[in-house]
Amino acid sequence: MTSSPITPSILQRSWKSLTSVRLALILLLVLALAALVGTILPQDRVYGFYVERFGPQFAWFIDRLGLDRVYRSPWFLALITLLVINLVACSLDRIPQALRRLRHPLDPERYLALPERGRVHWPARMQEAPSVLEHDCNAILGPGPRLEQGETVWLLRSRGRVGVLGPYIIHLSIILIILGGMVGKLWGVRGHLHLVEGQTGGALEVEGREAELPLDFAVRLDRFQVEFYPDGPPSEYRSDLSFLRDGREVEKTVCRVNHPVEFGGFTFYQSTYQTALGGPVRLEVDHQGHKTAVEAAPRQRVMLPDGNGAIMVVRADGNLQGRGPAVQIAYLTGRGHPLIFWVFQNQPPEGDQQPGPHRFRLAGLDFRFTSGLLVKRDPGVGWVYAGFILLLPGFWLAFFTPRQRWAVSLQPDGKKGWRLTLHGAGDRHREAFSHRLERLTAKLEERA
Amino acid sequence: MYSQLISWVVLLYFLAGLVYLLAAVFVQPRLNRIGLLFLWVGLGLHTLSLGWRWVDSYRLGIGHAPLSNFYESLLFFAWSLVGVVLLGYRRQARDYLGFLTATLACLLLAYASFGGMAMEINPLVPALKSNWLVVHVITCFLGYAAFTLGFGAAGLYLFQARRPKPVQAASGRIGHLELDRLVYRTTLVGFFLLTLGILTGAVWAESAWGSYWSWDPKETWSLITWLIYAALLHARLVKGWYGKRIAVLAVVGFLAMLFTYFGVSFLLPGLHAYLT
Repeated sequence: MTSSPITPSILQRSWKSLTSVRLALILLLVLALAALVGTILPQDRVYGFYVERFGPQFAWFIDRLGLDRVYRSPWFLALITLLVINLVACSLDRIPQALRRLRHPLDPERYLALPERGRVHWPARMQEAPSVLEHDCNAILGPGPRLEQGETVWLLRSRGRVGVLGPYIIHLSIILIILGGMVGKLWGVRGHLHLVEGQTGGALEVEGREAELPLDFAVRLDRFQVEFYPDGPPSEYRSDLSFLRDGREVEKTVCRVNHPVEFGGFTFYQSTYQTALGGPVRLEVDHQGHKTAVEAAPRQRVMLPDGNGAIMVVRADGNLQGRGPAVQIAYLTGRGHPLIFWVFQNQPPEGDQQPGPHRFRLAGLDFRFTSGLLVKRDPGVGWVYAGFILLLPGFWLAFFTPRQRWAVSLQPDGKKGWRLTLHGAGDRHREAFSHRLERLTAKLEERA
Repeated sequence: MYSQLISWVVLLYFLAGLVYLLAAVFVQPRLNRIGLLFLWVGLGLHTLSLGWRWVDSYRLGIGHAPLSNFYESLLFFAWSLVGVVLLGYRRQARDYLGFLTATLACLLLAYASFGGMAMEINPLVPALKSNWLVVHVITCFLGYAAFTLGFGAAGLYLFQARRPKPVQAASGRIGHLELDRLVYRTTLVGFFLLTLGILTGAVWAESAWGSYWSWDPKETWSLITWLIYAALLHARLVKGWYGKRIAVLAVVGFLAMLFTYFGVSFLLPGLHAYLT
């Protein structure tokens, strides 16, 4: 095999472009654009939808490029992978230098070349000028080395050096978040469980799977409750759950919206609920002052006791318009169309718009609730949250830890006394730098 | 009533904007102080009206922070804008920049009051009943406010850059350098807050819907905004871009933010649909 001199050069060049900020910039903006497409073009519709809306050619194009499923499409995942590679490459490329700067902060020659920022004069009567200066510098700039060049004393200080690690911590946390997302997609499970009060379930309905996914434990819905706001909409709903292993009850817990519960490696979320009538509805029928009781099973035609009419319970509501439980009934008397209206429990029939001659009042009803639970296991969440937590110190170090280098010199100035010269630089954080410069100058002038 | 209080706030912000405009046009730096005073008084009343609405919601028995529908979000956006300017960027909020922020806050409130949107205090749906609501909304809107100020500075920069004559520093006007730095600083603060907003939203979504990220349009657009500002920061810090190119990126980022806030709510359906 001949060793080609071109090979390392290509490697070097591709490494260089992988570590370039230009690639990062392009990736960020291209990802933004791709994400935008996914919000504008309706996602996850059937092929016919796109044909109807955009024509067959465009629909074919959309399907081939995966534009109907942008966030799962191979090219989108490839872009994210490339971003991760870019982040890793950039960090590998630059971390050694950052660590060197962190460990060997003071290169005197570079410090002495810092631009001059101000001068202060101290009178000749000043005692122990060098140690006074060192004391003040330590107070405002922190400790650091002292250098002597002939009669000149130099104090070198650096601040916020640890800030150079900030960007790498941020990049690491972004990588953790993306990896966590992928771990969740690959090894996570997400399914639904629909339980009627009293029912026990042991398998999940998983989207896109024919067979249910069996759990190694069972869940029983002991009770389901809904609370309502005074004006109607539900304010809270909850499932009282029991977890069973081998038929024995292991744990009892309450699952509410915003308060998921965990068991056996799975998390249970209160997701939806359905209300259905659990049995016959009890109605009180008032016919010209003559009251009788009727039981009507849902969606079944029931003759009224006097034989002059029939009703059917269409549906029920736990709190209609904030007026309490109600059932909607279809009422047929004589010939013609049935009349449909709501009958309330807590309100007298006179208040309703009931046509008569029979007037109804709801005497009692039983609801049967079906609780919809989202059940999931996501081993990636820990990674993602670790990334979230790590982002905060990363941001703090990268953006809010001012990096500053200072060199303060003290020189005897003939009979006039001492001449102090302040040199320094605070790249990227000019406000913080000038603020500290003001404090230092004020303190030193106060001494004079 | 707090709606009357809001009318006063609209007037005060309008006056502040007017005074700032006069200060800029007639080069009267002293007028800026009067503008600042109007802004402070306006912010005080504004805060009072938000607090009032909060207390009112408890009187109605559905107590929650006034951050739950589009009307309330507009009130809070305007509050954040003036608050961020007064608490973080008082020295820069003068002349045209003061005019821009005060007028924008005034317009937001006017739109909230007269835009014909639902102004009632409504009960929260169960999924919104969470302590994350307050943290999530506050971080997002403070971030929006910082980006908006940055947009004002960037727009002013681009406008001034068109004129051949440089702005005299001696006149007290905001110069190119100061505007450029303001764009960068507000972007930093906005980016940090937006990141916090996205993170708190993700943690909340995980506990409410069992999914920290679901490519909901609002989420996706906040990510788009985040990516654009991330690009801006990299261009600035690593590639050393400044001036015009940074200003253009700040404008683009702001437009994405605007779409995240308004566009998504009205044009794209999703989890955040209760805003409308």
